[in-house]
Amino acid sequence: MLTTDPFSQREELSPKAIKSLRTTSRWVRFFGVLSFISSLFSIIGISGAITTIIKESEDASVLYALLAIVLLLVIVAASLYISFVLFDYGATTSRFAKTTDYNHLGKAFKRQLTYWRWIGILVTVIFAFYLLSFVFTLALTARL
Amino acid sequence: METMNLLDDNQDQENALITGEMVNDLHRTSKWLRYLGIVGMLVCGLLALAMFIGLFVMSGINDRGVYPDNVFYLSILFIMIFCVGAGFLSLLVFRYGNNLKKYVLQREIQFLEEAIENNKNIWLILGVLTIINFFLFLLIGIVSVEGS
Repeated sequence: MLTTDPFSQREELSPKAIKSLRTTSRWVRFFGVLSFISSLFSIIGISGAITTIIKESEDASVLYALLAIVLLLVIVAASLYISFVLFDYGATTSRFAKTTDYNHLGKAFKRQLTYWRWIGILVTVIFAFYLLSFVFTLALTARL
Repeated sequence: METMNLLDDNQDQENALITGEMVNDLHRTSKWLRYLGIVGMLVCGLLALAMFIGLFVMSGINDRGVYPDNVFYLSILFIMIFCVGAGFLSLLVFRYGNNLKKYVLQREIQFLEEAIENNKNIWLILGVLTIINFFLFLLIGIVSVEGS
């Protein structure tokens, strides 16, 4: 943990860096809005999928249908949260660029960490799924 | 005297622009960024390799007249362009993380400014590519509607 006094920095960021942060904030907010819109579209798609699941599920597979619905809802909630984090990251960066109040930069750094951590976890989970499916395929091929 | 120094230190911490907590956040972010950069470059490299192998295999099939299709070569070309673009973005993400790490370790503001520049380039390139992609899809949609 690097939270001790010697790491405090008094040096200010140059106007060029602040200008870069302003440009970054615009694009990040743009992606936040875009991500929010795509999350809303995914809600429409997922609602359709849930309806189909409910219609086609027999009594025995109700549990699986419920599990699928919960999983889909979790995906929607996660994507909405990521959109919010991204937009807030852009908004706090923009506030810093306007006011040069370093408290806003601190909040932006926190949002940035949350965003990249989520992306990192997502990438790891996707990789784990690919690896698992690869191993299963290999095992099935070996059995045949 | 010692008490005075401690008071000065406390005042310094209060007046600090980039606090220890902020540096700690940057340190943790840099780890994720470097990880994502490496994974991105690895995936792009593997995808490019797969495309080369696919091109080689399919060229052999094409010679025998089994799969004569220009769409295939066009797809390979597009995937190759994607690999180069995504690989470059992954490199930028890695460099961004690396500059943050350098700043955390050496405490020189120039590294943080370089990192901020890297960050700007990442979002700028992503944004421009997204807009180009959007208009490309729109164009394809219009052309296909006109064609039908």
